[in-house]
Amino acid sequence: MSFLVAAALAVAVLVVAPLVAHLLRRGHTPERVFPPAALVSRLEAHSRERSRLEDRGLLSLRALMVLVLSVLGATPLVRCSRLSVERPHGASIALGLVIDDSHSMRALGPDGQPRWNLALDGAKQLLRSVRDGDAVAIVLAGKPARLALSPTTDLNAAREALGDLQQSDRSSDLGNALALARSAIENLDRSDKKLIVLGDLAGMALDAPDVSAPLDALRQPVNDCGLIEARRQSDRLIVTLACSAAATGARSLHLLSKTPIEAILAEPSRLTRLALEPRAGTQLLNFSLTDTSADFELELQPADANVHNDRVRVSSAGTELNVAVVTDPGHASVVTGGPTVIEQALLAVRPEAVIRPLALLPDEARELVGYAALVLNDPPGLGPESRSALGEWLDAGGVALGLLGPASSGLQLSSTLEPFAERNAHWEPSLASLDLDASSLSWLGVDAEGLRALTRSGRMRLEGADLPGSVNVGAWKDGAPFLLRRPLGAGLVLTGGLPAGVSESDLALRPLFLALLDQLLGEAEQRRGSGSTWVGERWAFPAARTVSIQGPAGAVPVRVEGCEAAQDTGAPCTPGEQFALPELAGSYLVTSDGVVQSRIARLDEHEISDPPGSVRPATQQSGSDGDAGAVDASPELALVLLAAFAAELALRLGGETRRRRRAARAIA
Amino acid sequence: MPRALSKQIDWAALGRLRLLARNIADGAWVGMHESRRRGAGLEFAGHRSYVPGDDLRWLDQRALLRHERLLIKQFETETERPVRLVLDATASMGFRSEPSALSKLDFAALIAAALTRVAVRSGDPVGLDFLGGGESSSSLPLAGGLEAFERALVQLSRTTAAGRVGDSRAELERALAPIGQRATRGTLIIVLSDLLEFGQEGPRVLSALGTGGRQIIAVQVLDRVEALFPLEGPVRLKASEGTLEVETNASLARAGYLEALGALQQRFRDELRAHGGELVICRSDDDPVRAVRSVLRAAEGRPQ
Repeated sequence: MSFLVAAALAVAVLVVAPLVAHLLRRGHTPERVFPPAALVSRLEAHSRERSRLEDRGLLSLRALMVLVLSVLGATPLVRCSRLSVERPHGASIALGLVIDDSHSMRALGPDGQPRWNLALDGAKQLLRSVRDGDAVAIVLAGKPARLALSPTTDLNAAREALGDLQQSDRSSDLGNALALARSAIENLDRSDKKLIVLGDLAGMALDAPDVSAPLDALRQPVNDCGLIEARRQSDRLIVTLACSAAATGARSLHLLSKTPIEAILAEPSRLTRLALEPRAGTQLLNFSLTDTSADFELELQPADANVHNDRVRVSSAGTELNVAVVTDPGHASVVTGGPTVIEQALLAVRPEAVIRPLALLPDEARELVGYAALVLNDPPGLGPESRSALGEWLDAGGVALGLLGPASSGLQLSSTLEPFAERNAHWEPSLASLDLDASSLSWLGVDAEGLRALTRSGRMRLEGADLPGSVNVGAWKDGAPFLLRRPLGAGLVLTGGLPAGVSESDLALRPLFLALLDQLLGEAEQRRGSGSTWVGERWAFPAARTVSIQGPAGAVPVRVEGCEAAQDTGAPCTPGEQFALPELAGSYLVTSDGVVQSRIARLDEHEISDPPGSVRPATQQSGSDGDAGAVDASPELALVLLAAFAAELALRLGGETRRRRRAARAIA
Repeated sequence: MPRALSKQIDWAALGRLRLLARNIADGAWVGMHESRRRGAGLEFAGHRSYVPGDDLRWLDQRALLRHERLLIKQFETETERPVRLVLDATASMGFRSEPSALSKLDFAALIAAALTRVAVRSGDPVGLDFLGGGESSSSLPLAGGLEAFERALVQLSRTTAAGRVGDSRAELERALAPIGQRATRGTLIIVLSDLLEFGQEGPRVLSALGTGGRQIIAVQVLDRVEALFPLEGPVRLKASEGTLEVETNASLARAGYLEALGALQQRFRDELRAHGGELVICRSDDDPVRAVRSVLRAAEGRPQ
């Protein structure tokens, strides 16, 4: 601040001058000699009160004028902190606004305002400085990055889109959001293209020259600890806690339930005496449960910068991802012993999943109801009862993977391989140097190197054995099917042409196998509801007719794929796969065709533990020098001053006229 | 004028006072005053009821026998009539508000000088007394002729507003007692004062001067501000005499003040009339000729 600015602003001190003058005047009533004073009645209190009332308007006006004069003297040297877009070439610009709607934006900033509100205010200020002819695109940086507004020159539409934005508990996906925003505006015919990020940068060091992040307040560290998840595993309660690097002060956990804590936890004192020292990163807490079916919540106290992650629900059912594995341990185990390779692989993919090995496939569907996924390894055919139970379970949304092998070739008379393949599928002895076609399996995210030199004693010949509705989603290099995908009712059937037994092949030891299981469990989570999914992760209901979801903030809209626009306008649309996107962390109650299940949408612990990102000074200088622009308020201030002068004159004239009238009446 | 000449005689100012007094007196003169006295004389002027103390020589014995009433015969005679002017020169009389040219004391002195001139031209002896005033304010005994007029002018021009009478009955009686003692029967006493500092007993004590065959005329001299109270808004009023201070809102207190002033004047008027006297009210910015005429009319017992 220069001397001139300081001097001009110092004039503002004189704002008290009219007040002091008024107080002095009120305190010292004009005194005069008046011989017949004894004949005058005392009206002291009324005299003071009248003095106050009469002068209040003038006093305020004079104070206002002093203030305005002070600011006017400092303008335009005084720069407002309002955001505005600078135009290096003076021409229209293409502006990509990247607004972070991840969970970390729900924390309170240094001034007590949520970061989300600050970001929205900043976006509104930027939009106010946009002119006709400028193009604006809005991208949300919550995972997955989304285009909230395609590039448009309709500024009203941009303002409306901004008004429709809602905060969420998603993870951050800033990198993809920047790429999306960049691609959205790169083809626009504007010489100046600017990307402005309004977010905490989620641990990212921003150094792109075309990107600026003007709001430093969003990148201030916050004191935050949050509960990520409270998961029940049999009689254990595992609580995941995350804290930011700036977290200070001990926290305590409190159990919220109508049931006494003693009836829920085996050692209640462990919880009540717990004093958690915040450590940057994630902590796991383990408690023994007495009542494994009670519904309760855990709360972290005291409240900190983000109160939206201080409470988590522990539900009694439906939150675990139960997977049944039907295999012959003799074939699917490794020589070192322990669980079968399938079970070990499943645990590697989903540590929180509950894996239950079954000796036989159940004959009744109700025995399968608790499972979200089923892995059958080299089944020696399926009997009629098992097929019926499996079919019913699949119709209800089960996901099954059948890995066919030598045992599946020798079927007994009443057994078939349905719903995986026709009876004519058979085991084919090894063919030298025949590998899997990497391109056909690229959707699993496995590169060709991971499929090379697959050791095997043979393969299941599935060619011509595919059931109606099956799609070949993986093949051998000779074109023969390796992996079939067959939707069945609300469920899904995957059929593999190699068993998991290490004696037949080393498939179970390859990354392909893990990727396949991950895909299987992902499909199961979508259909049946797993223990928990990330916030913002899509919940699909492929074959359900009616779906309704109640979440922490009320009903969650269920959309139909391909009909999003039609749903908004109410136009008819052919129903496709229904899906929903949980925007907030917490417990959801999903009713799908009358079947009620509980789902958990969980936070990403990095939203709490990751420190805010940073901006390299050089980048900030080149990209955002105009984003915190100067606003010269001289004309407006001059107008205010002029109006104040006019008002004062009017008040004085009016007061003088009134006084004269009173005096004239008195003399008359 | 008198305030500027407080310590020594300013002959220039004295000349002006003389000129003003003469002009005023001439304007108010011509047949308005006649030193007429009922009592012992040559020409019968009627009867009146006997009151104890009357000279029994004038008891009408025929009327007593005829009407069985005690009646005193009255005769009309041309005689000189002593005039005692009493000028209030206390501090409150020094009050002058803008834009008035004269203070109350200035105006009262001017009226007194004019009345002296009138009395001298009528052949009546004039005496001068002061209430308050500075050390130079000393009384003048009854005297006639132009010399008396000149001496009165000198005394009036020396007078300054100072001191106070006191608002208690005892203080007021103490101040007025010498005047009553010096005024003989038949004397016309003219008191020029603002009558504001005389206290509750003021009307009664002052009107007592009108007993014993004396006639009293009180001339209340007020400033324009005192008469109209045209002040506005909050104000702290301080009395000239004493330490009284009143903080008030003038706009709101105006009606009450004017009412109180009117009541005070009415009390003086009632008391004075009960003793054969009269109250004359004038303002320091009034025409002095009219003020003198009003005093003379009151002295003649004619309506104001």
